[in-house]
Amino acid sequence: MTTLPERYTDLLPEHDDPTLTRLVDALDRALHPLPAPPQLQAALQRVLDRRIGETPVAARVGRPAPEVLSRKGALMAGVAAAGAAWLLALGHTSPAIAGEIDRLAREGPMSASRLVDILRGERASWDALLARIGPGRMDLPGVEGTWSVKQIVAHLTWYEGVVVEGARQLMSTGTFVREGLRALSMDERNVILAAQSRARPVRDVLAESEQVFGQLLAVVDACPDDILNDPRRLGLPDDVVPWTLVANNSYAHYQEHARAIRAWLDTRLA
Amino acid sequence: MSRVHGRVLGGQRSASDADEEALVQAAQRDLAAFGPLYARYQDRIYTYLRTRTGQTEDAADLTQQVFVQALAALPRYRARGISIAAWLFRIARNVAADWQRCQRPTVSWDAVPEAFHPRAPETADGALLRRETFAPLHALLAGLDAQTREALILRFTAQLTLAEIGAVLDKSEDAARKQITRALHTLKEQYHDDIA
Repeated sequence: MTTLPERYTDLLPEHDDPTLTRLVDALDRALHPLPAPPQLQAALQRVLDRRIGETPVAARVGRPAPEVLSRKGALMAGVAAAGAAWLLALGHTSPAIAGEIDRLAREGPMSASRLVDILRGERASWDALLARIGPGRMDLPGVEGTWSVKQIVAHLTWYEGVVVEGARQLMSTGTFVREGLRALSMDERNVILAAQSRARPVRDVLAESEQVFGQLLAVVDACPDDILNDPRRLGLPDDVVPWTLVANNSYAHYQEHARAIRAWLDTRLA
Repeated sequence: MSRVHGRVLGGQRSASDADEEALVQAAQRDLAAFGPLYARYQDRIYTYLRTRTGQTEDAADLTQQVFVQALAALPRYRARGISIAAWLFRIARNVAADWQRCQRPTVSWDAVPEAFHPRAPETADGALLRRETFAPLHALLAGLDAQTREALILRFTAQLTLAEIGAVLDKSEDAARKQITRALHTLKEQYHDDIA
């Protein structure tokens, strides 16, 4: 005879109906929770670790840029807010290559033509890595956490897109509208981006990536060198040089994810 | 009272609830202490979302999304009439609803047969037996309306108390109890000794 599990006595206080008791027991066994996939547990741990170790971007942005504000008045106050909003929308850092960016920064001011050359060279390396994978394998999950290569590409494209859009808005209107995904925290938006890109065809994701990269080259190419090198022109904190913001959210960002992709490829070839 | 996944069901406040409040307060002071909370809830949130989406990978993505949102909102959480379990499942329900708006209009029940899958590998004979055992029950569940199925999932998979189910579904505890007991009696009418 089946006994009603004690935890369901509140559902059936008069548990003297054997059929109901068997039904509840069967539902209990049938609907028991499944273990979450191990890669999800690892991904959640990474989210938590990042949250704990995350530099409070708002605090960095909150640092005053008094020179800009005092010299330029209300107009520049708007630009400062716009630059801060742009930085917050990006919020993306890749500490692993920060040293390389620092090295380049110490070599002197960056020129648009040099940055375009670097972008082209790094993009070629990235394209070569994608070619090793091939479109047929870009939908496979579990490359980095639960993400597929396709999702990583879409993720990279989004950040490049914000660089493009931010640069355009700042240069043309002095404002930057931070709404939708741009207004969320980095973790929140990354999870949503991954969910949104999961069902997209690989072909579309790759095409968009190419298109946005082309726009990025055009924006950088058209950018005066002094703007690329002077944080105050865009209302950014003093230690956020505009060209490093471009690098950090384009080729440096590729490098950050390329490591995980190569490790995944190695395990598949092993 | 019996413990399931570290929780005590049956409707009464317990030492486990107090432990959980302490965990929440610790996590509010220091995010590093959030680990035990998500370890406690990740399987149930994941399985709930698995039933809502019908997709393993989407469920994993959405589970992440739930905990990311929970982390962001945790400083604002106050245990006033809603437990952390109900609070997390409210987030999960909203995340699932947003996902469904972008995907398809109805609540999926496709995942349930897979929810019957074993937690550990079993033999082909064992798997066949399990499918045969629960397939008729699945057919009965599929005949319920989506809201009633969700209430059952919140009880049997999410292992929420009736008060928590009410909080998630915006009902009173009594209304949640009536919905579930009515569903059980409906299922019972079609449930025979040869099922399960």
